[in-house]
Amino acid sequence: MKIETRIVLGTAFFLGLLLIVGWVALNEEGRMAEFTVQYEARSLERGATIWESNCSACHGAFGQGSGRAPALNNPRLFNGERLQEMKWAGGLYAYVENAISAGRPASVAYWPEAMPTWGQQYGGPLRTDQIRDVTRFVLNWEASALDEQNPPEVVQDFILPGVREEGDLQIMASGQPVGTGLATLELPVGDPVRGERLYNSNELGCSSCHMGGVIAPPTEGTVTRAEQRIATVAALANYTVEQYLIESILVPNAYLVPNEGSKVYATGGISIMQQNYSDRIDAQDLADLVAYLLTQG
Amino acid sequence: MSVLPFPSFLDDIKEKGARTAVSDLIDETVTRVTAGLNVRDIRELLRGEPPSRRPNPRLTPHADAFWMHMRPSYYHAAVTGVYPTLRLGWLTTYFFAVEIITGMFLMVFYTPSPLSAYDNMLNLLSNVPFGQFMRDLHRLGAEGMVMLVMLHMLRTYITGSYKRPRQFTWATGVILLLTTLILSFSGYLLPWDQLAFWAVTIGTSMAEAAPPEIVGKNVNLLLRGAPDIGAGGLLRFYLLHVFALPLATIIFLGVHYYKVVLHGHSLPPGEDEIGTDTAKRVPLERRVYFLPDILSNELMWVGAATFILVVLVVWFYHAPLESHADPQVTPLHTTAPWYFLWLQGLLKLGDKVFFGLVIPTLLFLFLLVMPYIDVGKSRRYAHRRLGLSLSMLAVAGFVILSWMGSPEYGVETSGDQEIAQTLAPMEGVGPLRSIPFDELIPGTYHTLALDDAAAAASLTARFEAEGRNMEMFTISAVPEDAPHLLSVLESFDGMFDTLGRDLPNAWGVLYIQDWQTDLKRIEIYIEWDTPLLTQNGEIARDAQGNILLELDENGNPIRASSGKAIYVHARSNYFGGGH
Ligand code: HEC
Ligand code: HEC
Ligand code: HEM
Repeated sequence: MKIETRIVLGTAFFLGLLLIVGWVALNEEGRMAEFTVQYEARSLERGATIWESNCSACHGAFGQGSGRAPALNNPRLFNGERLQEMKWAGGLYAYVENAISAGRPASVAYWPEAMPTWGQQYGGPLRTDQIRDVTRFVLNWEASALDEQNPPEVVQDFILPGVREEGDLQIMASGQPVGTGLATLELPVGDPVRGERLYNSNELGCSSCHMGGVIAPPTEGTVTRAEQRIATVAALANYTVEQYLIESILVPNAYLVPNEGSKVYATGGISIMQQNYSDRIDAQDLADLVAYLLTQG
Repeated sequence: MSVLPFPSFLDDIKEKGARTAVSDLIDETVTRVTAGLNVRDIRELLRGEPPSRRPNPRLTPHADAFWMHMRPSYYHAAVTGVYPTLRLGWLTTYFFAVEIITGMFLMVFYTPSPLSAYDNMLNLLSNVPFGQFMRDLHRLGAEGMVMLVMLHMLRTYITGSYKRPRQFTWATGVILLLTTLILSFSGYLLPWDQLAFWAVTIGTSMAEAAPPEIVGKNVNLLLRGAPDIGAGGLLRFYLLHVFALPLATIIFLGVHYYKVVLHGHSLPPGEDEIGTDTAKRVPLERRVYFLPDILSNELMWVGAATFILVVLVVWFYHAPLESHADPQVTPLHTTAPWYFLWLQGLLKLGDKVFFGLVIPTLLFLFLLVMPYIDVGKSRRYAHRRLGLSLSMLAVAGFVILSWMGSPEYGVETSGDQEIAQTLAPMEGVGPLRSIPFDELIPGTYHTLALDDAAAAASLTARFEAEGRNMEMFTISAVPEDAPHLLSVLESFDGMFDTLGRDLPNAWGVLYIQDWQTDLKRIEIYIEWDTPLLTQNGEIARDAQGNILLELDENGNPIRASSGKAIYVHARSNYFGGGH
């Protein structure tokens, strides 16, 4: 090969190189943006998997909430109300990420169990990138939550500790001695049909735990069991079935149904049933629920 | 008389006239910069003319300039073609340079900590102009360098260039082989993804096997910085990768190349009388001077090689990045990097200490001293039949062992898991995720029904009678506008004859649900009859080789099942082939 050929070829290669590198440079912005979109989508997919194995048991597969945790497909989470009531000054992403990372140890006071701590930096099991994944997944409910044509079914709203509304039964949610105030409670006449509807409603979610007796004692046979308990448990000796039911609903920790085999109804003296129904139902609701339960012989 | 109070350029102008003064100034500057060549010399060089002044000015830079003094001033014409060197040693050096340059770029964006390493990779890809480009170049360069070192070694073996007087050149080469392999391997860990974490976990577990136990344990600790790979291990690998090993490579490359120049590039085996070496005694008419021939040739090759590399990384090759390293999640198949697969293959033969440690060490020592053992004088191919055959056997052994090291060989996973993994692998894309998003129409699709509506209806009726969860087991035929879904379902069905041949009477469904805005969930569900197992846990067969089934008390087969769910987002762009 003559030296001229080498010089020409070499120069051609370098010019070709410059062209390609220039072309890459022109496309870099687009490529980086596309990578970001793709990466976030894949992160959300991983978040969905994390949700399925770690969160859905409490918050529901579709984020609809349950007796154990609030719904996260809740419009109030996305329209700013929740941030305001929590006095959160930052953005929504930070709020959700923070709640997941740090957990809410104190929420055990008004939920059956506290929101666990998930972030590794706080002693939880998930790495930072996994927290980001699952945060993206939670935030992806925004569109459906705010869809006014097609409002999501929010089973379980957030609860604020110690805040009550008028019409609520003024009874302490937990930690009260057996029977406090309940004996003197005067209830209106109950309607078992409305009671059944309430019992099965998404709002109270009683049947989501009690149906079939998987998580909680089954609905059927409630009265029979109540009679048995009154007959055998000394602390319940002076109760009527009605009083027992009222107390079971309003103050679940007062008397704890013993765990049965692998079914754990309560841990550490705290029932997994919510402690806050006294805040959420009024006297008529309570009367209706009791009337319904009294039909479950 | 000086114009200014000291001698200056103005004096020159006054003396010689402006034109001459300026051209003299340029000439002098050029001569200084090139350490000996003036403008005219360079013009002659570029035109391919012989030098017009004596002594030959083209030799001066070899004496006066630092980088040039490392290069010989002329080569023997017999070694300047593609044969015999195939330019492999040169190319290895070139790749090493590419690695250093791209590596320095990457270093700027990298912190060696498990908390940030993976994020750094993401940042490089999503936020740094030319980040992906540089990372791909670095990764491809690393793989290429390993490949080239091996080929270079093979070529010096085949041409008998390791023979006297070049034994020591070969020995330093073997050290370079080792540093190159470890250099590449230590870089493997740095992205801190699953691929990195598990490959290196397997790799370093070899060290743990070193006897006696106290040594193995401590070598392992030294390497990993803790019983398991973590922050300490990552930092150590990083320092090895960016400091210790490059330094060692540069030092040994210096020795290696010094020896190459000292002895001269060995001539093609046929050129010399047997037992003589005339590489350094180059007759005048066979001299090819470094300036201009070799240099222009090398510069052209730099252009060509860089051009090819850049084309490859822009259009054909992207460095892999799996998900974040997770000690809790063992991938279904963990493999070593390809250049260590032979070692993994050896390990499958038996004892970890013997096959994983003793044999590789002996191999390394053998390579090191090989030229001192093979003292046959002739370098001619015809006289080295045994040696050349042995080397071909060694290459074949390397390939076979590498194949044995790959997961295809001798690793048993249950068929249902293999099928689910093939459809939707833990890492990467796979056929299921490649289905266009709008073809993922919610519903349950059955491998026995495919797009046949009647079959789907009868299956649905059967499942209803069996009292199954009808939300999942209402079977639909694949709609016409979902051809990709259909073809994946068909290949799913086909897998029961291959990967799932040990699953009697098996079928599977794909259960697709809308989950969130732009997000679907797909469950791969597989059901089969439980096979009867023999005493030692193998599947029992009758004389014809049919699988025997485990039966319940009524004599009916017992169905077994497994499921795996994945989620697919509309913008994850798997179906665009983007990965
Ligand atoms: C043991 C049941 C339980 C599990 C499991 C659980 N949570 Fe919670 N979570 C709760 C409870 C209870 C609250 C309410 C805390 C409060 O009101 O302060 C909550 C609150 C939250 C909140 C804050 C909502 C708000 O505005 O107060 C988010 C976000 C959240 N959880 C996400 C998750 C994610 C993500 C997971 C899975 C990684 C998860 N949770 C797992 C019980 C749970
Ligand atoms: C988070 C699940 C959960 C929800 C929701 C729930 N419960 Fe319960 N419930 C339990 C558990 C667990 C027990 C048994 C432990 C105990 O004594 O508190 C129980 C006990 C009871 C008992 C006593 C049963 C017995 O066998 O003695 C009654 C009555 C009852 N619940 C009624 C209700 C009503 C009415 C609602 C809806 C307003 C409701 N529960 C909602 C979990 C739940
Ligand atoms: C980082 C790795 C290496 C680099 C950069 C390198 C570089 C080079 C270069 C530039 C040459 C000049 C001739 C040619 O291009 O072939 C050379 C020659 C040589 N190399 Fe290497 N080499 C490396 C590894 C090895 C290895 C692994 C071996 C063998 C075990 C080896 C053995 C030799 C021998 C014997 C020669 C002399 C060849 C001759 O004179 O014809 N080198 N090396």
